[in-house]
Amino acid sequence: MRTFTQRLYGNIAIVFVGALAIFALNMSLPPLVRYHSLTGWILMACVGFLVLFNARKKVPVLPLLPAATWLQMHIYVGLFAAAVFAMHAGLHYPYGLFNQILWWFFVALTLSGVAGIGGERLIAKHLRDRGEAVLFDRITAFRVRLADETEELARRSAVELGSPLLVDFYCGRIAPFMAKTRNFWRHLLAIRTPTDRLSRQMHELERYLNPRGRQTLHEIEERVQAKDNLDHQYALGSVMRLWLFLHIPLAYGFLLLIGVHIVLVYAFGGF
Amino acid sequence: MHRPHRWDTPFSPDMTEAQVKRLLAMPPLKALDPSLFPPQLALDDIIRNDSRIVRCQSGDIIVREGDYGNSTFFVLDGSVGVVLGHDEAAATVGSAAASRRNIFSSLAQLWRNARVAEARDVSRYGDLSLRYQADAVRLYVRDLDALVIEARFGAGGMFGEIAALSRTPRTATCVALTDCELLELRWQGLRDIRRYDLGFRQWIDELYRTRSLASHLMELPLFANLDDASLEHVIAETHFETYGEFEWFSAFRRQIAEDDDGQRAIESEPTIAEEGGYADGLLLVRSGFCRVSERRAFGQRTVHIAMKNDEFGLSAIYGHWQRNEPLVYRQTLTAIGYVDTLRVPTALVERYVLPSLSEEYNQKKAKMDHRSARRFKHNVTRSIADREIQHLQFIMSAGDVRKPTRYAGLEPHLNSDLLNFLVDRRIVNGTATMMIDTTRCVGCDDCVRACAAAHDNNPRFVRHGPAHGNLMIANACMHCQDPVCLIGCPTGAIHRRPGDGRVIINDLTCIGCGTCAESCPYDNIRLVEIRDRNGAFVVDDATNLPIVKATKCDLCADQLGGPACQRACPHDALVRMDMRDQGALVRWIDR
Repeated sequence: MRTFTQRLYGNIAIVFVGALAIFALNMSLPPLVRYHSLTGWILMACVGFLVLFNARKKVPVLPLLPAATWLQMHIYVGLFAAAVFAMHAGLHYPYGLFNQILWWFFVALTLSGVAGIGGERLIAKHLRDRGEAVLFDRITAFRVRLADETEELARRSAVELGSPLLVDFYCGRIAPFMAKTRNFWRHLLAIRTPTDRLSRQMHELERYLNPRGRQTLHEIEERVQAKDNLDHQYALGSVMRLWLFLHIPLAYGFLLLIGVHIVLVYAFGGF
Repeated sequence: MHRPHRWDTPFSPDMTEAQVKRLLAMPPLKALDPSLFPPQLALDDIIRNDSRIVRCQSGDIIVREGDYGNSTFFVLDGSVGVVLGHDEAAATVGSAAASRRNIFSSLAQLWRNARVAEARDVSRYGDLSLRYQADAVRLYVRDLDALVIEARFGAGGMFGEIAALSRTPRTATCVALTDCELLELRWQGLRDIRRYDLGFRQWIDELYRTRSLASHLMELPLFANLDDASLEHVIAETHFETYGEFEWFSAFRRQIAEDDDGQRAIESEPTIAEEGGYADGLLLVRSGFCRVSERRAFGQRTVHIAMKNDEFGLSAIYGHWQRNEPLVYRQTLTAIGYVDTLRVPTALVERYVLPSLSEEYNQKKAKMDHRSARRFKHNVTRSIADREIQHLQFIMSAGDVRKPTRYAGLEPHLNSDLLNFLVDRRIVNGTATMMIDTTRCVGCDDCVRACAAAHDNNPRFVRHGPAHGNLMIANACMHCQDPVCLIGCPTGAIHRRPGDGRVIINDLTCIGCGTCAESCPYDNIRLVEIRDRNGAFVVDDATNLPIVKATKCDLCADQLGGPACQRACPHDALVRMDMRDQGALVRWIDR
């Protein structure tokens, strides 16, 4: 079995050699063909292939190659396409509004793709770091269950302790925290200040409680921690889904613009 | 429709009252006492519903070595021969192909599949002819004279009980030597007869023990060089032992529910051999799996998993035989679940086995070197027999061996923590365990969607389960070596597919009793309420309650390309792993 590192080096080498070959071939052609024909159609083919990856995901029952293989090809054909794009468009900002729009679409598409590769690695790592992984679609149900359990603990403490201290704290600080997803951006930026603050406040409260009250407080604290982990997973999971909503429309948009570009080139380019 | 019951779909719709009477008057069923059976499970009902008459022509292969089967056979008339080993004449006959979609029907799923979850074609449930047929294709041997017949069964004989009772592959090929008439009894019926008739139970258990012992010893390389007389002596003196509970899942469920730590799990496992104890014999694992552990301070550290055909204690006996070392086991062997073992007395191992191995050692070593080099190159899993030879090489070549059950330097190893986890949770039972590398999984759920697309819009697994470090074991059917979910199924709807041994549920004969889901120690079987093609829930006419069916992962048995979950994971984070191949597991973890 090849290791990930071996696969990475091998694939980068193939992309590099392929790009060099296209560059050499392109340079050997007459200037008009060089800039408008060969690299353009190669780029079109690459983008078409890149879009197929999403189509592959829609038909998992067909005996096509594994999605992991498709993703690898998607990444390296994407890098190859970036190199071909540089040859096709040149290393300068294009002239004309349409070409500039096209250029920005490709740059955005490439950058979002690169961000996606890095983001997935980071998100996988951070998902693992905080609590048990749960299905994204079940996060809301788990959060509601934790909120109900916490409320029940607080309600019970009012009867058992004969003091409103814990209930007041629950109503003022914990109930709003448990009510909905909190600290979305802070979770993305790995800032734990609000949760640490809440935790500190609970510890301060501990000295005013009897052993039974402390026990209840600890149980509430466990649920607060679990809910914070759910928020963390929700934030990271949302980013993954939002990223797809960015990358895929950009890809289809770019494909559409390429079609218009080809029509314009062949209509007015003097071919 | 009405709620289905156990015998709504009998094993054979052609079994008549007269045939049942005739069968009960013939040996060996004649010896059964009908008064021992309760009214709701009467003997004649069992025979009528759980058996069928099979007629074979001369040369027909009835069962084939390596195939999985869920039934046993009684010879009513004619003669049946047993062929052991990989007899070429038998092996060249093709096996029944598993039914798979073709490319067009795969494609047609995109628009033909119902839009609602768990939709079924309800009209099929009433059609008895659609029941699962294990012997849909009859294979035959053209040249019967070319076969080496090891044993023969005439009228009254019985075969196939080893695989039916131990949920293991068939241990021999059985061929009809003449035109013959057989009674095939599916294992649910065999189980019930064993339960209520003590005499039958003793007879069948004795057959099971005797035949299991003989066939198992003969297939092991350790005994390959023994002459017939020596082998006969060894067979006569070898003890057949069983450890643990046949239905071990209840105790295991309790253990998991109590969130037991590993040490308590080990303490609850029956000890087969203890570290420091007198090594009175060479232990051979016949079926099931065992934990090999070493004492460490006040606890036990798992160092190896012993599975079918693995041996234990050879190094201790070798050390005693060669260097007069103390004859004590160097590790502890405990049973995980239900284990069959053979204990070959030390004196016989020293007298027959070890001298015969010395003579053949160099030849085996050369053969092993060549084969393992070739297989490593092509990344092909080595067989258990290869491991035996490797182990042997290790023991014979290393003079100062102290930890012989480690194939040090010969095979990659799992670390002890992971081994403990896999054994404590009995994940070692799986042959297609779904493992997820959490350092790569981003929770995209492509695997879940792919599974749903391949299975009635409802995924057959939950992407959640016990985890150890970066490794998560998802709640997906593992297609266990020892599938205890089969034990209670009243209709045989859940069965091992002949050929590849996958555990499959026949939706047509499943009555939704939930026994398999209750038995599965890993909670990997679920009951679902089914709908018709229009999306309406199917309900029982009598009670108006919904009809349920058991569902689980079938490894996309009818899909082209294999498990959709694994193929759909874009991050290479999910794999279906055969736990018998620890080398592949280590390579996947270290990739």
